[in-house]
Amino acid sequence: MQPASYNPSQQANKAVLITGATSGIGMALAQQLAELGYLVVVNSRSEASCKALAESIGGLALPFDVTDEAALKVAFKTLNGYLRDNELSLYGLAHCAGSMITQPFHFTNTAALQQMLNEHVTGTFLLSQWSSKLMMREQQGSITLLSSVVAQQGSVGQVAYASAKAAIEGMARSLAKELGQYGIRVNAVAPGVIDTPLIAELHDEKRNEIAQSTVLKRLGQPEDVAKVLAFLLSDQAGFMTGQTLAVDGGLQLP
Amino acid sequence: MTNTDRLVATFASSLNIEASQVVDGLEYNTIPQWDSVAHMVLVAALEKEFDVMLDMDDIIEMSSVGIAKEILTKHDVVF
Repeated sequence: MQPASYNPSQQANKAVLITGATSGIGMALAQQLAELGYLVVVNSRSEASCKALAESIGGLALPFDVTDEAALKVAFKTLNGYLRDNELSLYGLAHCAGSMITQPFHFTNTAALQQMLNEHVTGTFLLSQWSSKLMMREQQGSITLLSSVVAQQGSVGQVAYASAKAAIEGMARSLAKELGQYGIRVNAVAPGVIDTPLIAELHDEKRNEIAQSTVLKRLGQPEDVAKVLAFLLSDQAGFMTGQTLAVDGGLQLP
Repeated sequence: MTNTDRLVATFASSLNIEASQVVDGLEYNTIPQWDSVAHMVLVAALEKEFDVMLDMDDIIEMSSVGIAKEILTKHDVVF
């Protein structure tokens, strides 16, 4: 069932770029937005995976590595041409790509730290820069970024990951302040423990322990986060910007 | 309409100034209408008008109408 205010024609000329779209939260979001009538621009590093998903949901495949600035520039020029030829505008960005490194602090070298900063901070910076430039043309747009519950709470073994995610929340607030004058909203979500490939290596006992630590007594599903991202992207959140919403089953409640 | 006409019209509408003010020597931040906010409105309008994607270095370097022409020329726009 669609929201009462849903109108497919309102989404018809709106494109949303989703990074990390071929698995986990990104894939769930891609499927939801396609059902809502958006043109989904499917990104991941794998060309084959991008094409397969784009074909199944009627979207556009745009494979590139978000940490490769040169590749990102080429991709945005390709996207610009596609949008022009099809009389579309880039309305949304959902940056879901990124890995998670979990290892004790004293086992974490600077290469691991740099990897987290490249994927989460530099990638977010560049994607926001190029996406917002396209959004400015129509003086509207919505950028949604992926933080994590660990940005605020910290986590043993995730110093590099938590640092990068905390930076994203600061970036979201600053981008919101700077881009609001161009009609562009910027928000973030902070998922708790979500049942995605990122936690595939956790054994059942640990997964159950995490589930019991939430108020709702379960792990989150990618769809739980995707629904909130879809809301933040939509006009229904048209007066929200600079916010980070926790989607964690109550994990952060004191 | 020539590309120069299109450039002048884009500058004038983006900065909300008269077309007669759009001369090669007009520089960024020398009139109240061409501030950093308007600069990005101008960049977005130029990109749309000439169907180009400017690099961040281009945006920083675009400090006058004359230099904007040079940058667009680099992107195969002929003046």
